Order: sequence, then structure tokens, then C-alpha cells
Amino acid sequence: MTLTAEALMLTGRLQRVSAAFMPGHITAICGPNGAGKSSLLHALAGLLSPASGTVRLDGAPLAQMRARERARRIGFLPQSAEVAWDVPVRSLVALGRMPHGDRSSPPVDAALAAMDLQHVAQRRVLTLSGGERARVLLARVLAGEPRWILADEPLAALDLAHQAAMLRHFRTSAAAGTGVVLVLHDLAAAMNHADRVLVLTQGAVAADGSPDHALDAAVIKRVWNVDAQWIGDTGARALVTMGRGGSS
Amino acid sequence: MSRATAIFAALLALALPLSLLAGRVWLNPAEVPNTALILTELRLPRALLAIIIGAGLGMAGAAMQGYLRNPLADPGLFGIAPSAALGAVAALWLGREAGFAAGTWAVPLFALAGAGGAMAVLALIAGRTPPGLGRGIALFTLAGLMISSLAGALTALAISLAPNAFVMSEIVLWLNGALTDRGWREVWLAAPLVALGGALLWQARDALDGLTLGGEVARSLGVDPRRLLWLLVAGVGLTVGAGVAVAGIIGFVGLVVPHLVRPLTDERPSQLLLPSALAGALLVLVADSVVRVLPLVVELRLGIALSLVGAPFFLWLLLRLRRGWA
Repeated sequence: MTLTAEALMLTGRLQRVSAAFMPGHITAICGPNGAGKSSLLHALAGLLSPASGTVRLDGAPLAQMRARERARRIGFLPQSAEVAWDVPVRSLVALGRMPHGDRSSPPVDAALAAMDLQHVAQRRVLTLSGGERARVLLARVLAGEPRWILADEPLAALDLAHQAAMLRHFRTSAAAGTGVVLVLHDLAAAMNHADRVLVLTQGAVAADGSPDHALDAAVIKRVWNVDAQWIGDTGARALVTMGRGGSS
Repeated sequence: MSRATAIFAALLALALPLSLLAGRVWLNPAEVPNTALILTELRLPRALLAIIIGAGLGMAGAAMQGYLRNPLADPGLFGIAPSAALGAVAALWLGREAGFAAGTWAVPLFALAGAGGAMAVLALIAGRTPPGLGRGIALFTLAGLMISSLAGALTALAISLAPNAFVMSEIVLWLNGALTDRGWREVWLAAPLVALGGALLWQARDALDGLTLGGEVARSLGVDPRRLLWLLVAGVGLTVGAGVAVAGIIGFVGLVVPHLVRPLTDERPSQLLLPSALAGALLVLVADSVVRVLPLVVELRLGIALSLVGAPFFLWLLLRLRRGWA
């Protein structure tokens, strides 16, 4: 029950990246702009074919898996919240059932309930607020009952309260045994909510381990070139930056 | 059956008998001699042809808008119709030289060959398109536009080089699209092709729904972009190509119809396909009946009539969308 990347190469984006992801954990992928975070996530989701290297799901190469089989196991939440048609919330969430070839309602109902969306199930999606829409899009992923959830910057367009709610939902999924992999820009969110952090820089792994270890001040200095310091207690830490580091 | 499907099926069932009776001569079986003959040999095939062509164009339009995730998309974007028209024009042009006149099998068959040629070029590009959906769609649409421009330019060239004024007027008239003097032969030619094309587009319905959330999500849901592209090229090619082959260019149906249908559905592309086919059939049937009864010296060409209605509608749509964006 693992998702692993083995020496992934993608010209200009990933340089022999290897990493193993665990079910039941939240793993955050962090790094500066252009570090290859999104490329790695797309490769893990089977949406990007690496030039060399392999992504394995439960030991089997992802590239050789049938698209539907892959889709049943991996739920992908992109950064964009764009919805082309003003469909009812319930129909949108039911799209998550596509890989299963059914529009079966219990998982759709469960996903709507988990995201606290029953009261808007019949509403049109474009009439919802940004926060509600983000929940609908995650509910769509949950309706597919995937064993892995891969989300690209799921907190990017959300206010503080919705960010916290979203992170709680990811924790609930992880507690139920789902492997959660998040690309996060917000290092404090990664520090406080991830079980593990993978830091990328220039397409290569710069640090990989517990948040304390992977995001310590030395790594932040080395990767982001910023002098910073963590304050507060475990689980509620804040990052204080002290201006840009010296030019090198 | 969805609400939209029921509404348009009922309207179509109502319009068909009226269309059979309407024309230069209003058919009253008690008074008009040869009523049965007029019905079975003239009006029934013409009405059926209107239904077949309209259904194909409506469904192709709905599928294209779903595929391109854009309410302004039209089946014409693949360049199928102008290519089919070029084929027909070639038949009319050569026909004068070789001695076969318009109205024989040559025109529809050449038009189908034209549509097939456009599909082949698109398929060639599809085979080389990277598997991602976003860039692929843009590339593909541009290719369709180029095919369209090329076919249009060649058609214009054929008109300007026409061997005589008669051929020139024949070509121009044909390009305007009409169902005048069409019979069972055209019905038998178009029906199976449109049915096959419609069946292919129907196969794409789930994938089109998946595209609601963008190409990446569709792929993550297991949609095979290449299969979807093939279904669209073949489906639109057959429905539109067969329509042009028997009736000339009939514009705007594919663009307008999904907009008429969308407010009656939950907007999922899959829910638009069937009602758009019915609404397209209804629109072309009614339009063809109207041009038949209009008291003009010469029957207004169907293609012109639909464009006269379609273009203002399109402008209205643009204005409404602009207000939506503002």
C-alpha cells in the first residue's frame, strides 16, 4: 500500500527524484517556485510521464496500469477551481464516481455529508462562494473513495477559516487510512499539519523527513535563502522571517 | 427521459405533421389530388431529411461545446463543413466538364470525400497531439480553423475559375444549403452516417462530463484524451459531413441549439446531447417549412434563412456573455 517515485527525471523540472509516500499519512511537498512540486505531484497522479524513472503504486508501475484502475485508486485535486458549466453540486460531486462506472449515491451522499454540503446539494455550483466551491471540489475527490488523495495547493485561494477546515478534512481522510499528498506553499501549514515533508529545490530533493527536520531553519535558509525562525509550540508553530539572507 | 428531451420530442411530434401539410400547396387530403404521392415522394423525405440533418448538427454542436468547454464553440471549428462543401463544389465544377449534372450521386459522394479528407488530416494531427488535453485542444482547434480557411479559399478559387456562369451560379446556390428537391435517395445516404456519428458522440458523453472540471481532472478520472478526440472527430465528421453532403452548408444550428437546450437541463454536457439532437431536428424542420410557405417568388434558401436568424442570436449571446463577465 505505498506510492513511490523512483529516480524520476523530467527535463528541466525533476532531477532523479525518489520518494516513498505512506498511506494514513499527510505528506507535504514544499519548495520555492519552479522547484518541481507540481510536476512531481502530476507524475505521482499519472498525469505526466517522466522521461525516465518509475512511479509505483503498490509495487506495480503506474504507467502500465489502466487509466480507470488508476483513477479508482488515486484522486487528484488540481489547483484550479475552474468549472466550465454551472451544474448542480450533486452532479459535480457524482463525477467522482466516473472511474467506478456508476453514479451510486451512497458514496456521493457520504462525500456531501463529510464536506457539510447537503444543504447546497441541489444548488448550482457557480452560485457558491469560493470556500464552498473548494469543499465541493474536494467532495468530488472523496466520492471516488480513492486510497490516495493528491492535491495541488489546495489552500491557495482560501481564507484562514476555510484553510483550517480543509486541513481538518485531509486529516480525517488520512486517519481513515487514505494517503494524502499535498503541494503546499504555506510552510507553517506544512509544519503544523503534515506528518512528513518533502522539500524540493531545482527539481531535486533537498530534505525529506518529519516537519521539524525537513523544515528546520537551516533548510529554509539553504532552499529559500531566507533567514527564518519557528516560534510557538508543536502543532501551532509560526514562521518568522527575518528578511532576505545575504547574497551569495 | 429528461425534461428537455420530453419537451423537444413532443414539439417535434407536433411539428412533423404540420410540416408535411405546409408548403406552396396546403395539403387538404379531401381537395388536393395526388395527396398521397406528394406526401410520400416529396414532403415526407424532405421532412425526414430536415430531421436527420438537424439532429446531427444539434448533437455535434452540443458535443463540441462540451469538448471545448466553451458555449461559443461550433462544429464548424473542425473545418468539416467547408471541406465537405469543397468536395461538392469540385463535383459541380468537374460535372460540367465530364458531363454529369448536379443532383446525381457525384455531389454527395464528393462532399463525403471532402469531409473524409478533413477528418483524415485531423486524425493525423490527433495522432501526434501530446496526450495532455489543454494544449491538445487548442492545437486541434487551430488546425480545424486552418483546414476551414484552406477549404474556403479553394472553394472561392473554384467559383472564380468556374467554366461558365451557369456552373458558378449552381455552386453558389448549392453552398447556401437547401432541402429543395431532395428525396429518399438523400435520406438513405444521410441517415446511416448521421446515426453512426451520433452513436459515436453518445459514446463520448461521460468523458465530456468529466471535462467540466478541466482536462487534468478528466484525465485523473480515467478519461483517455486520445479516444475522446477520435470520437469527436469521427462523430462530428460523420454527422456534419453527411448533412453537408445532402443539403449544402446549413450554419448556426450547431451553435444555437445547445443554447436553447441548456437552460432546460442541469448543464452537464451529457444531458445536452439527446435534447440538442431533437431541438436541432425541430429547428431545421420548422425553418424548412417556413421557407417553403414564405410568399416569395423564389424559395429562400434554408442555409440563408438559418444564418439570418442565427447571426443576430449569436450577437445577442455575445452581449449577454459580456454582461455576465462584467
